[in-house]
Amino acid sequence: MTAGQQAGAIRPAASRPPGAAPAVLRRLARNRVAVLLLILALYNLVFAVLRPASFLSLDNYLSILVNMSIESFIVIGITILLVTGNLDLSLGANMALSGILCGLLIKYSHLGLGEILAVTLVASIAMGAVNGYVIAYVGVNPIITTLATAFAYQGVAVWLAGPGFTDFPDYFKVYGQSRWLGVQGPVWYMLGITALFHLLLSNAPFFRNFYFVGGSKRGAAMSGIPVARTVFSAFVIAAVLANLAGVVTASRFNSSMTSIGTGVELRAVTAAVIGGVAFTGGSGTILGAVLGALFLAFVNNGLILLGVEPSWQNVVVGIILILSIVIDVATRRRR
Amino acid sequence: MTMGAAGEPGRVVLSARDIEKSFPGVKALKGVSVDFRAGQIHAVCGENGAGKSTLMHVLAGAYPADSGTILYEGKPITLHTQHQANTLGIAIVYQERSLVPGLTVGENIFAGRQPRRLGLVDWRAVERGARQTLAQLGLEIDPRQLVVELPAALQQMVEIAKALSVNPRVLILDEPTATVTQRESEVLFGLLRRLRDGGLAIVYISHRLAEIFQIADHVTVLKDGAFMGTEEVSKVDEKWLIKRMVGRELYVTRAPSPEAGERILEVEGLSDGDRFREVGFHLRAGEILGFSGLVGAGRTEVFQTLFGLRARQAGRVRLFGKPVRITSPREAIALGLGYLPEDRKEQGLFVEMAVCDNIVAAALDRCRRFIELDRKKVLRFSEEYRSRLSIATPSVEQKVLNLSGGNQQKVVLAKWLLVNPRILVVDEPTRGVDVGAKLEIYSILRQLREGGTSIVVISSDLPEILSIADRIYVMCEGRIAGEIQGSAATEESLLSLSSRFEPPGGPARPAGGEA
Amino acid sequence: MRPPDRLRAMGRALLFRRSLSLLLVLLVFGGIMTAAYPDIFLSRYNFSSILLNMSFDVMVVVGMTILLIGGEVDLSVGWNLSMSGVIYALLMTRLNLPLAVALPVTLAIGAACGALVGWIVAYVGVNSFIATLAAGLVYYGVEFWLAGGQSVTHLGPEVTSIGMASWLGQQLPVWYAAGVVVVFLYLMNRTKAFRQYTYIGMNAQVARYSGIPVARMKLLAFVISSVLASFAGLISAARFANAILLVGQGMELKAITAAMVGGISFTGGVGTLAGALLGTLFIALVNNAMIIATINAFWQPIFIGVVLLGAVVLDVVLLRVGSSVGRTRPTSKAAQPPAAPE
Repeated sequence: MTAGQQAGAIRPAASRPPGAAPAVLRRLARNRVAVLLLILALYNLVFAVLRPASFLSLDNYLSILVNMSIESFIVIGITILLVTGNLDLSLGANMALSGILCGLLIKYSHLGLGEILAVTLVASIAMGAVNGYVIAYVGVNPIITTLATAFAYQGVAVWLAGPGFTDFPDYFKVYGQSRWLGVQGPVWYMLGITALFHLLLSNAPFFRNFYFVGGSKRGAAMSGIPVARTVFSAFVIAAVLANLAGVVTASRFNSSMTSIGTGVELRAVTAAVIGGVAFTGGSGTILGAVLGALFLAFVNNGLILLGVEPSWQNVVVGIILILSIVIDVATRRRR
Repeated sequence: MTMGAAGEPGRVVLSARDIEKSFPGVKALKGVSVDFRAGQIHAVCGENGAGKSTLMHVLAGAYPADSGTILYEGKPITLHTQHQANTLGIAIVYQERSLVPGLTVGENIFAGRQPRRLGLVDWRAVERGARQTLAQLGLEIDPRQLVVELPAALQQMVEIAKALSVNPRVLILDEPTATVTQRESEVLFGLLRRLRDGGLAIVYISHRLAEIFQIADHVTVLKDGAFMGTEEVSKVDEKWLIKRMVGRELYVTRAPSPEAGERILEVEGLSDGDRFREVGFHLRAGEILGFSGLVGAGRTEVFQTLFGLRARQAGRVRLFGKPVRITSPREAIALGLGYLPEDRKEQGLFVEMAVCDNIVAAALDRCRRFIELDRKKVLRFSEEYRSRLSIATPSVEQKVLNLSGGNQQKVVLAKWLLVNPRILVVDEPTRGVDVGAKLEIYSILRQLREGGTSIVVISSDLPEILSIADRIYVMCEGRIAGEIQGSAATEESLLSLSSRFEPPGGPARPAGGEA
Repeated sequence: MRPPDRLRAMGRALLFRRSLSLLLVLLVFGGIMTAAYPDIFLSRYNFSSILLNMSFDVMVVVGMTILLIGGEVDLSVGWNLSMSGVIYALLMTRLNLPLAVALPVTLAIGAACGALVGWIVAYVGVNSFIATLAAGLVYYGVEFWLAGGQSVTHLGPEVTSIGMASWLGQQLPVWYAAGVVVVFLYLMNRTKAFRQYTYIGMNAQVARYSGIPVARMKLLAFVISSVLASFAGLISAARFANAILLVGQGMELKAITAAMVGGISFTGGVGTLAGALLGTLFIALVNNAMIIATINAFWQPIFIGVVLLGAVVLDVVLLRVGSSVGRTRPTSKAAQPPAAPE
């Protein structure tokens, strides 16, 4: 029972309870997408003045987009999980293992590409299913569970591959390296997947269940929503997206390495929280989260343009993550 | 009014036959049989632990009965999940909210069964359907609003709307007025009467006797899991109910007020910038001071602020003649204050810990030997207070979880007595406590006063305040609405002060001003 | 759902006497290893190397256990440990500071980091998982930036003096760890101040209402954990004459695993430091066995992951069994029905 819930008597919907933010601010807070677009516009303006030559070029914009593209799959997966009130820190390991498995099979098996992709997809789904089962059906804390499985999955990847595989045939590389209308494949994938999942998460009944489960488990169960199964499927969906990220990375960079997924979950959580996805579950949109990722991509790009050492990028992401959560906590408390 | 499947009034819709239910070590229901009829509000009352919520859970499919049958529309049914009960036409509203605050009212109402078009949610149909449901209940809530933006009482209404949107024939309500103010309860009662007249069978769980006479047509009393009788409300009185709930009549006698001492706590112009403002009062040595008012009037917040649990914005506090500025409970305890909080499970007790660990929790410093915690002292103090307050537990090493509500409350009381406060604030000291333990707690408080401790009792229970307090302040909408001598106070005078001020945002400021 | 009585009794024994059962497991395990590899396993050399390897883990486990009992967690200790080794080495090699300055400065930086993270968690109210994950990211970046992307190698005799020597046949880190263990076993088991962590972990709100300085104690726990990690990091740099980049990677997970194997519950308030230390010994023995049995090193993380997963599952299952055990001996009619199942 928070203090706010006790407040007040029955009033017309228009008047606000004491202590609540003014309507304009509230509407802004509700519409995180608009806020982010505004911030991004300001950011662009600043850099257009600071670094007109290097920032304001089509190539720079395209490189920002292609650099964030693959991680955006993870951002979408993490967002779905956060909405259900969960988290998966093994998505990076899943991504690495998918790439490694794909590379291994391409180099050392006689399977066709379709079969190879199917095998890696099944492996990823299995990893997601293990997480989902332990968390949804056994009831273990998601963070600690997925930290543990991350260790195991990453270990399997290293065991399978040593450092990794490289030099893939053209029929595989084409998926990550070709361009269409001058824009790299991964960017198109990002746009497509973002649009698809935004649509699904906003409108498909099955995906709306994620919000109910994340908002109130008991309420969801009473409404006949299969809570455990819903959480389970969220982990599997996120695993499929991690698989996609691993395979496209292998294709784009012509190599699969065990280190590719390191820290990706944290960057994804940062992006999602910046994009208005609540850490406590039950709210947030895919579009917001991907815009959050875009914001991070711009910041990384800006650091490079300003000549900041690359090791600082982690520091900045870490600080942004803390700040965004502090702001999230503070604004939630005020309500 | 078209909500609820109409049936001719008086027809039995749902019945329980010889329901038995055991939990490991305790028999929660011992063969309970009740009929719930269409077009009637049927109250189920009993003390905490009497089995009312177990019965409700069984009827709603939350867990199966060990034996006995549930008849729905005359046919025996077996419930496995709450959703199954829901689809059959048995809806339930729990005390805790089941709404998702970040989603709209409309979507919450249609949780899990949103109307679809081409496989996607048909948002227009959601809005239309929700608007219709809300309108039928006489609620002017915009279905597009987020639930988080609604005040608590309206959220409760949405909760009921959600339960009713599947057109149930039975609606079970679990203590629906526990978290709303009196005025809000009136609105709720109006709604329930209209639903009843529409032919719905309503099961109303409550331990507030006054409410039962206000709203119910029938009442069933449970005691220790046993069925104690069903009667028409018009044929019984409060004594009848109490006798069946506790097996004896409740006598509360006023003790004479002692000589008032000097002012030991003086508060002036206290505000927290949110829940209360310009609060001023004083406490005299050796008196029991009552704080009355409706839930949400700001009483708890005032004392939480004095105790250092909330930030203060303005105001002066003098304690034993010296100005103080308390910023943490630790400082407050050191200065001689104690605060027994209103929510036992969330604020008062470490339920997973032993009785002795709980009793010493606020007075660990008294159990110290240099920097060490002396286990012997812990046990000695616990045993002392266990016998002093006659806490019924086989051992002080027993987990608090296993005690009854009354004994749990005595453990919290023991915790605060052990710090030897000169001023003890008790917030709803007998909430969820059976009548026997209630009387014991009153006598402990009186003994404390004899021993020189000054006591503040915050309570929503008017007879309680009237029987125990020497002097009473009434709060309303975050301000002190008045002060009355205990001997001069009546339920009517307290009630009228409780609603003296309009809520903020209301039409006019009262002319009376502050007390 | 009612498990058979025998199973429940077993669960109760496991739950309430985790240290005992773990000791049993350790003895059996030691017996098997002795039988299989009598010459290697029981050798003095092996004994010393187990102790040395354990000593760094032990320092981290102590800090982590205090946090876990208090209901928090620090996922940055591994990064912190690595960063501190680098800071210590650079203070002495690049800035030419004497040991008497470099040592306290490194520990002070550790304390400051812990205080900042602790403040964010305890006073601002950010979830400790995410705050410490983010802090780890920052430490990682700082470490790479300071070290210029390379381990600081070939450390001189002054730097290594506090780590390389032996005393009574055991190397110095072992003695440091022993000292830390003795001090904190005393503090956690006996003192009033540290007893407060059990209350805080059980229910922080009730603890606050009871006048226990919750935020201050939580901040202190983060400082302790951070300083111990710093100390482990600088000792590791001194012992191996190298401040190796990312030497502490995965340390936090290992520590959590050890603590949970030793009966610390993830929900806070449950378990003892002694149990957590037995858990550390268990992990160390198994790692040692894998080395002796020449099992591929890649299996180690897999093993840790699987054991941690097993421990957390056991934690949840046992808590469930435990609470139904608790309900078999209620003293009154008012035992509340369990929460409605989903």
